[in-house]
Amino acid sequence: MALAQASHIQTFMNWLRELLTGDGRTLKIRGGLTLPRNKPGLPVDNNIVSLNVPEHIVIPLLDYHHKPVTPCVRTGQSVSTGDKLAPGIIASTGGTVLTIEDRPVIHPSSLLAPCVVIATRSEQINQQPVHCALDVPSIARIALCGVRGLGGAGFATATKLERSAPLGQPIDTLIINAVECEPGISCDESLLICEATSVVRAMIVMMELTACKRCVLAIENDKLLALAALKQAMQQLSTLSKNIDVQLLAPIYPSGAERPLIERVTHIRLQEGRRPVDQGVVCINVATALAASQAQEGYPLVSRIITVAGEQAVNAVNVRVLFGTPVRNVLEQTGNLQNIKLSRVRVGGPLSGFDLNNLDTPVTATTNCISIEAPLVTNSPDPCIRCDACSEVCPVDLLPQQLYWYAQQDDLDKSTHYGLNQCIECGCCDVVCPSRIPLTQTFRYARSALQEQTQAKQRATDAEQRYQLREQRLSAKAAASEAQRKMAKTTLTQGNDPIAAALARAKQRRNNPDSDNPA
Amino acid sequence: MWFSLLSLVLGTALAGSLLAWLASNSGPVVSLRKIAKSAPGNSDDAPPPVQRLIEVVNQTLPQTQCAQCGHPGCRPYAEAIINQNAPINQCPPGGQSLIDELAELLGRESVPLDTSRGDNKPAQVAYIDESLCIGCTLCIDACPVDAIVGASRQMHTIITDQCTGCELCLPPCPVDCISLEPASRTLDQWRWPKPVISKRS
Repeated sequence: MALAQASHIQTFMNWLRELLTGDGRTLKIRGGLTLPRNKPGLPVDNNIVSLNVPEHIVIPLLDYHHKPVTPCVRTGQSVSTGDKLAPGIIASTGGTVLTIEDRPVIHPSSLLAPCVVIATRSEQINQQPVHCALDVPSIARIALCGVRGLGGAGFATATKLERSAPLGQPIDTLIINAVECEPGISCDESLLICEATSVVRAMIVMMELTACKRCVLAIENDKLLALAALKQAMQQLSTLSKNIDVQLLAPIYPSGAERPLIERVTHIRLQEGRRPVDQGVVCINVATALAASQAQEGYPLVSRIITVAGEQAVNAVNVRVLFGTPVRNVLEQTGNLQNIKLSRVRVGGPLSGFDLNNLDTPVTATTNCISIEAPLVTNSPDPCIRCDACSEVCPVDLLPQQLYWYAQQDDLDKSTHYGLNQCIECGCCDVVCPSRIPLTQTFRYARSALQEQTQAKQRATDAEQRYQLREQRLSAKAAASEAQRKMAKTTLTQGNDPIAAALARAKQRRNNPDSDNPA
Repeated sequence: MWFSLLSLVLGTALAGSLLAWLASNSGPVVSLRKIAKSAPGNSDDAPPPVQRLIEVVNQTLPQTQCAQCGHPGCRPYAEAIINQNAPINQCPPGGQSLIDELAELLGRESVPLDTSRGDNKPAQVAYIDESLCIGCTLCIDACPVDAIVGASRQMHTIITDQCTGCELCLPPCPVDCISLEPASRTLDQWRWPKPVISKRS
């Protein structure tokens, strides 16, 4: 009852705030940057081009935390689309397992990771519908079909939904994230324009799946074509889609980041270390929602839309690419491979992405954009002038200059205190810094140092525990053998000495040879 | 008269709190005042009991259990530091950073590492050359953290995740089939490099 009242008060307050601030239904995140939208090298139309299946596809055997997982296929084994290669990893096409070996993967380091290399079959197989078990519960179906977050982090969608209703936390708001705030990426926008009806259907499916009260599609207000397509699709499905709200957001980077978006849409500020689902909110990327709804019909997630763009791109285009296709192959098929040596290939957007060192790395679920940029000229940074521009743009309200001070001194305790773990690494502070200080890079460094420290501490605790257990075992063993020796000694001293008894018996036999047979 | 005055005051207070609530929605996550208030500082309590102190020192030690310090393990060394005033620079795996940390913790003077005990090496892991192993089980007995599996006359192998790189398995091996290699960096252990900032004159 009290809860219901609270939600009424919340609604009233929202209405009042909208009335006072006067910006109607368009929400703005805190901080952030308004970046130029129409820079050169963006796709000219919103068509999605399908690429040919390459000869070999390479599937990395890594989990969400980039930890290697054990494969459950062998070299020479025949696999078909959607087959399990390892826990949580499926084959994106049919073929024969050529080899399982270490190969370069999409990662800021140049390290190798174990991968399954599949020689694809010559005939097109990835079009056919799939055999994933339809008799399992809907969330398990999502897991079986290998659905992961296509927004950028690649978190397993089934794990995200598992904690929600009907089993766990009831879900108040389901946010479908179509805010593609980073300039240069347009894969979700083109998906909305080309497949608006399927997206709306997917949202209806997701609403049923999470049993949520309210479904919000968050999108920027300048994506007019996508909005028009969406409106048309929702009118077609008006009876089913009446519970879907379209929430417009001002085109500010990074409105699409999960935490700032949830805060703007639901007015819930997530505490550090808490997941959105704990507060009754689930936020899912629009393409992920589509994949999850297709998984309900047994279609595994085997491909995604990638924006190939950038200043030096010859042919900027949105393409549908099978997971495991090497980046080189994507560039070749889109006609962007010439003069590539003179450019810088970046994965995942101009601000939040990283440079790719090896073009033979395979595309994964998290590869939303491949941008071809001019080589970077870096000027060495100047000292901080304490202008505070970084704090003004920080979307999660940190104090980047303070944080930088501690992070570059390796003071991890103080860095944590200043919210290091809340940094979403959006790169806004880097853009505005007049001294060109590599703030985000330093925060990334400090974060991974913190992670390493935690891992080392965990290893030390484990080693200590094992040492203690061994000591206990050895001392117990020593005590047992000591006790045995003591017992033997007491037997000897108490007179029932078996040796003496044997000697006595022998003596008796010698004296009395007739009574030799004891029986 | 006073009634209208009272209602005016109440109404203003109500409107004020409403505006304050609206404004509070955009307050910073880490407010400066909060940081200043809860700034980490060592609260000087009464001297902790010896057992707790040993525990703290033990947690600071790297738990390699390598016995290079002359004590049979990390906990015995921690006990010696507290009970027998043993020098704090005897732990090669911990290196200078451990000495500094212990010095600050115990209020002792920081001294350089005693290299007669060994050198500070980067993280390492033992590997058994399985083609040479004869299955004598001597290394299994020597391993302080039970990180070697195997049985008599069966091949042995190291559980890499649990190996502390203490080198205690090397001397007992009769066929010298164990070697120490630098711990390999997998992707989940990789860390971003620290940006190099050249100082301008």
